[in-house]
Amino acid sequence: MAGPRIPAVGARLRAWRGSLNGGVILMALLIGVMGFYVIYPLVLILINSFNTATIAEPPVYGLQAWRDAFSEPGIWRSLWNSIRVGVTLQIVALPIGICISWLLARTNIYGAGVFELFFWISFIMPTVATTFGWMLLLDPNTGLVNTTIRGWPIIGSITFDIYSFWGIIWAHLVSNGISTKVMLMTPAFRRMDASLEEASRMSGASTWTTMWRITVPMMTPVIIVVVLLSVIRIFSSFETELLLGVPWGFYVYSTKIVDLARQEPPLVNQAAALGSIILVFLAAVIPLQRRLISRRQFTTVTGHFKPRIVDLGAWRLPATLLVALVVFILDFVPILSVLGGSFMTRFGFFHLPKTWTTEYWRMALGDPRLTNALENTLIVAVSAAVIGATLFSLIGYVIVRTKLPGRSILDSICWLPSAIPGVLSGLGLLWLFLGTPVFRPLYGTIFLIIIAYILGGITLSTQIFKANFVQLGNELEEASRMSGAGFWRTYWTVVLPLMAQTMVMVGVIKFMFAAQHASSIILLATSETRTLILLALDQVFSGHREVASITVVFIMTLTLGVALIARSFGLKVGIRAE
Amino acid sequence: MMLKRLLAFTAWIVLALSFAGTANAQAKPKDWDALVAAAEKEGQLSIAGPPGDTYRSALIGWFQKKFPKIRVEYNGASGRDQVPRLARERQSGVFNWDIYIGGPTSPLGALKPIGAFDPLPPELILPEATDNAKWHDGFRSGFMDVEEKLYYAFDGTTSDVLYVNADIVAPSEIKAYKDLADSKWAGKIVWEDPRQEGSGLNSALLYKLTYGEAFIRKLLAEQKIIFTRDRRQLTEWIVRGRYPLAVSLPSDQLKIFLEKGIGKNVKQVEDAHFIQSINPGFGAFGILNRRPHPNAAKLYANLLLSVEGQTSWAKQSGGRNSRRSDVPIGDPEAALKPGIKYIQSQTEKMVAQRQLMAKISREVIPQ
Repeated sequence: MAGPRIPAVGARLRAWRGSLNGGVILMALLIGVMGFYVIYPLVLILINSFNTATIAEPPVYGLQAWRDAFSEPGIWRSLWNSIRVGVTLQIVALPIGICISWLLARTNIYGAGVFELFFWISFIMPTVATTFGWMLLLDPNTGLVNTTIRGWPIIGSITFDIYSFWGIIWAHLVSNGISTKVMLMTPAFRRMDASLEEASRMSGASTWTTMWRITVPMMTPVIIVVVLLSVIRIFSSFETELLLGVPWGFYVYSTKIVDLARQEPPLVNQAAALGSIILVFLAAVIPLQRRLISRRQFTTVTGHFKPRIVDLGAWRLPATLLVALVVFILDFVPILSVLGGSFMTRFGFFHLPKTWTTEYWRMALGDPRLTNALENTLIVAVSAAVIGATLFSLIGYVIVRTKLPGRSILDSICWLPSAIPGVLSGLGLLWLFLGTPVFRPLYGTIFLIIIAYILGGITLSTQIFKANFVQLGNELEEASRMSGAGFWRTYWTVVLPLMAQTMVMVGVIKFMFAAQHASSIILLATSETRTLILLALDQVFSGHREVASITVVFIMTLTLGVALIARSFGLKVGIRAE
Repeated sequence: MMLKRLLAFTAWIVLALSFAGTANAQAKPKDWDALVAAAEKEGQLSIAGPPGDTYRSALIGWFQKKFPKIRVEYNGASGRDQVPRLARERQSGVFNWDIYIGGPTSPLGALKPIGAFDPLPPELILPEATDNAKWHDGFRSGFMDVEEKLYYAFDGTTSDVLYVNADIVAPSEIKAYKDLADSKWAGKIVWEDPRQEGSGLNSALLYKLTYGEAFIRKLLAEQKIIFTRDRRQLTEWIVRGRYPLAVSLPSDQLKIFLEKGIGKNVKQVEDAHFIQSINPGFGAFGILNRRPHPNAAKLYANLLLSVEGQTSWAKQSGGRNSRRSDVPIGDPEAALKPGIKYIQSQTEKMVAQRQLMAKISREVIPQ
């Protein structure tokens, strides 16, 4: 906790904050830039929801698109299904995520570093690859698991059906339902001051009681952010439901939006009307999270910071085995699915005369488009990672650690993009870039794609920084200022090193986002600026899923390579439990 | 004697070659060489075309080989991505593309109304390209727009509506396509989602045209049909027998399996009483106005409709056929048969019917 302040410190701090009234300019700049990028496309989308004309006709405004959208058959049931999937998933995934993060960051389980790396690998696996892998195993008729156990006693009568509600929950859990939480919470657990835990144990509380009564409540900001991000994701996630739900008539809200936006010609106005409802939902969520986080003191990294680990004693081996099992489930299937699939003559067909082949690797490596796409991906992903992480750390810092007016506006702006599914935001970006004369000369170049990716994933990145800044005590910054350092020097030399692991994590997330997300740039790219993910989509469309697997292997290897380099750098300069 | 024969033979060869040369020269219009030179001077051709390497190779591979001085910028995407982008670009004064190639519904619905296309006939100067005798049902029958001048379908693939996995269902068990409504097939049919534009919607429309609206409504609503948008998944399901009946099976996807010896058990069901139609898929195109490379576009449009361009389409597009009768057949099962009258189910005149069918599908499919 923060120590007592001496009056001189307060005076210096006030003086420093006053000097930030260059800071008002900074805030205005941030609100201006972010507002333009975020609000303008959203306003365009909202306006379009009232436009009853097709994309080829002059605009005519009215409420018909809203009426049509909400009279779509099954729309309310799909909304209910989204909520069911989202809530069930969080009820299962959150406790698992908290336990694993705590075990990795605060206990002495064997191989914590290696396990954490495997959660990163799981995190960067494309959702579709994981889902395909599990479809291969748990298809009720042809799945390897089901056909294998069919002859076994007792459990032979059980059929694991991936095409079911619980199949969808399972697919979400093993794709990124757990790994995202571990990724987000482990660094925060690691930075937590051990003093309170020690005090708890000194008072006779057990390790588990201490975890649930002391550690978890101290982690409230991170947990709230993780939960809210997951809840919002309910409305944008659709790949898993499309593959596993649609075959048995299970639709979610986002599937409906995508349906409308992908009609030919697209019913953008109706899709926008449905998307607008998510904005209303967000309008309720944003103040709620601000209220929850601002009610209590959550500072965990202070000048007296003591990172210690808990000795699990006899539970050390069982806990290690448990985490190992989770890692196996999370990583084995998708890796096998992507890597193995690229060597199979036909993905999932194990009884062919020639099951395995290197034909597709030769085909992929001989394709000059792969080299071009690889180069483009590196350029856009590295730019997005470096610039994005720096920009969002500044935004998070300004929101949490300054008293500048407009913080709540900036915070709200950062939440908004998460509400809009990629297929709509891609259109919004196209309108933005084509409708703004300053961007038009850049249209068709790689610069616009970099801009799209830098500012993509705003919500997740900003919230990660915010949650971590809330945990960071301000004594170290005050000491810096007392020594005469200004805002920027303190920010660069004190704050950023303390946040090194978070910077690395956000950088990797942004790299991954740029390497794996296509919907925001699909309307902006050309054959010259095509990235690996767009190439993979093209290959999937041709029916060459095996060749696409190779492209995905490249994406994963790139992301993993960057994650490893960045992580080792982050751990060196960041804070570690000893 | 021997020498005489040799001289006579040589003279005959020279004569034959000179005739061939004359015929060849006559096949090209007089300003053809000037067009080629102007196109090469422009040095680029920008095509907004269908997605996937297969279509890219089929549409531009031969052209790039023939004219290495003309760089082809090919942006592959489906109509639902391509058309809003082009429409917005043009509304913002950006004119980057010369030619649009793709299914007719989206461009006729969104690009034609904003005047994006120039008339094709004045651009088509190569006699071979528009030779009426060489096109099934005549050259003009390929126009998709009402005015018959803006958007042209060169593809001549018939709509294969129904396939069975013969290991599970004997093809003889289904005498007519309407047998699908038999309750014994409930839960055994997979269908490309007819709520969106595509082959699945096309098949649903053909059912409606053949058996009426009440029939298709009942079929879609009551047969517990599995609808998917993943064309590969649909193909894999029937190949594996998970669902033994498939409507609107993508032949290009089946071909990928057949190449590896899988899927020989998948057989097409014939029904002579079912309405016969051409489904051009992605095989249609228009020339965009205010194009940046007018000569290269003109050159390409002529050659695309020539024997060379259509041979490439039939051979390399993964099981598509051309409406030209003098080029190889890509998919014999989906080839046009002489003497049969096919309807073009994707013309502009049919747009309203297609939209109605999509609306019916959204209404009746349980969700």
